[in-house]
Amino acid sequence: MVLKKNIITEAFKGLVNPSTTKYPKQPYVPPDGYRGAAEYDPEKCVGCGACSQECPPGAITYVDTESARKIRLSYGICSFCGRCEEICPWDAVHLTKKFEMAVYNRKEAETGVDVPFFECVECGKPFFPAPQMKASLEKVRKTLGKYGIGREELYRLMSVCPTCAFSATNIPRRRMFMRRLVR
Amino acid sequence: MSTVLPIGPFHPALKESAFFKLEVEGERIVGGDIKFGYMHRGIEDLATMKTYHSVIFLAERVCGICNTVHSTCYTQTVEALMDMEPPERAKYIRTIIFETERLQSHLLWFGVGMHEVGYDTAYMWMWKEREHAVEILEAICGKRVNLGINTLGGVRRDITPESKRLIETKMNILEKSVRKVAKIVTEDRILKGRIKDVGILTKEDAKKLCVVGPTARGSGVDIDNRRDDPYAAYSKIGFDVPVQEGGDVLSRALIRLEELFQSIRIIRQAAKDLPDGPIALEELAYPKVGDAFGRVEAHRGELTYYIKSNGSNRPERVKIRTPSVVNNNALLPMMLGETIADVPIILASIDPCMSCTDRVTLLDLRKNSEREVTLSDLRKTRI
Amino acid sequence: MLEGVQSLARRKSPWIMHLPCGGCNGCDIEIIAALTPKYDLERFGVLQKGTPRHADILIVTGIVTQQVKDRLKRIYEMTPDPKFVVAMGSCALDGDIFHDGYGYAGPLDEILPVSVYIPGCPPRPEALIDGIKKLLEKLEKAA
Repeated sequence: MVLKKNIITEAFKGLVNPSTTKYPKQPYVPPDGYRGAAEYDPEKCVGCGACSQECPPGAITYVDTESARKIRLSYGICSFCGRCEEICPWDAVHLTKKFEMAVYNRKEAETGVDVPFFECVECGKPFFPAPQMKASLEKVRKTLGKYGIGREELYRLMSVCPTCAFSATNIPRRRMFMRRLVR
Repeated sequence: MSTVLPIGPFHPALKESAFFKLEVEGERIVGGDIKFGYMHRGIEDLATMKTYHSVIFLAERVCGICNTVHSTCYTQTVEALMDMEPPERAKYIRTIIFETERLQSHLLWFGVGMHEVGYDTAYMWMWKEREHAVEILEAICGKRVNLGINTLGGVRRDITPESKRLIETKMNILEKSVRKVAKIVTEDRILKGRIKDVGILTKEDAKKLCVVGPTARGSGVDIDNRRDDPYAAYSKIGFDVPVQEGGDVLSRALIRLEELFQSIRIIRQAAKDLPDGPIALEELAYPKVGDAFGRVEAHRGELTYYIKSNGSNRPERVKIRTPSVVNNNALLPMMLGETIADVPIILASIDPCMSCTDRVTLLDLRKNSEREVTLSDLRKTRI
Repeated sequence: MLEGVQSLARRKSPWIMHLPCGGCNGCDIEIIAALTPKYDLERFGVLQKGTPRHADILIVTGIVTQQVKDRLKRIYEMTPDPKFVVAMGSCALDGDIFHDGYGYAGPLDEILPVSVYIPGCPPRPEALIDGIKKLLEKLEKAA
């Protein structure tokens, strides 16, 4: 008797105030802090690779081609844990609120960013991610002032590729520079 | 004489893959065997290849229903190796998330149990009430399943004043829902006829087979890790541990019902007494050379972790013993003499979690009577 | 004209069978949650059946282990045509966090032909509804 009364009251309540979401007609917005698909910000990423070292499943890999460093995050291996967002020193990866990621082809389930390379001023070969060069120079600006070294001088010394840096003209220049730092 | 009835890996009564071979004579069960191994993923071997922090996310994916339990036990054991204690606020937050997950796990069990008996209306009602508990987890941790709230030295997210108000509202709603569940389980005549005096486990058998959790407390054995060996914030919160003497499916259901009420009581106390302070430690020490052992009271019983460290930044050996491995021993004594029609509800009453079970690399002869499978054998089949 | 009615009937009532292989059960809970009152899949005509002979769509979750490979192929052959396979969760795509262990026996589409992939760990019930909707749109375009 108790159950019959319960069933009738529940059915009536369900008619007046349904508990089903109106999903495809009315889109669902998750709360703040939801851990959905990860996205890269191409303005901020410098191509350092800290995210790929820390990722627990190993979903982030990078390949160095002729002119750019290609960073790829595969959603098939990603476990949506949020470690890459916590560890990035440049604040370039964010977990957005996107959760509708169904695809017809397995290779399409990925995201990434291409970081362009910087060219050597002597031979013209690209060898290092350009934004990382600029960001590193910004970080050492204060220390440089203590040693009386100008930014342009350091920039000129850093802008040669590993092959050109050990040529007959460049080695004495670097030795003089190191002596000034040590003194 | 006796026929063999296979209940194969993919079966509508099972939510996971396991193989049950039952020997029947007519309708009565006279013997049986269980074969595991379909869900073996090689987790303990993978854990030696990753750093200490990455293994937190690997340990979480041992089981989806009890994921915070695994990550809390692992984190506590590593913190014991480092000889550090997390701050007080982190301990209270861990307790709140732990008990909220116990709420959703027991409501899930009630739903699945009612479905095995054939009472689909109650199954749909209980899963509807479970969504309230899951909304709390989504608002605080950011996901519904595989939460990722723990980190070495504390927790990753804080409880804001908004979340506190959400917890209070949802606890009031959940208390009314649990009272409705109580009315169905204790007063329905047909349900009692199905589950009373079915699948009996005596107290001597329970002690001899070393079962844990609600399976043991339903047969009169009074053990509970939260009271006997307190961890997180349980030493400062008051709660009761229910024990029943019947040993049948109805006693185990009544224990889970009482645990639901106690969980609501614990969450309310912890949310009221939440202390101020940081949520994680700033600096961590290196894990010392040696080994550590940790245990918690999971939703199904006692879960233990053993970690051995050799001074590098990866663990040397991680050994997990889940409660489902031990509780599966009790299935055969419970099923002898019963009819085939009662097998699904007896299987569901110990709350088996097959993905927790496949941790073994050395199977004993009673379970898998073909041969002993060692770790080197498993590596050879990798192709 | 009869074929139009047939294809309409197939699109408006797809029956599913759920095959849990070797995962953590997170995706399995989200499938069952999608069939319960809050996210009701049954309003789209979906019904969960226990035998492959009655099913149109097979939803596979979890990684494929060595022990489960042959049994999956047998169940796929038992299902009558037309049939479709949906790979749910990151485990069925590329192995998630287990992809460099010894228990992993390859991605799912080396064993069965897959129509739709749904990444996530685990994907929400709404993501499952979105995935089934995309599968039905693909069928509608093909018809």
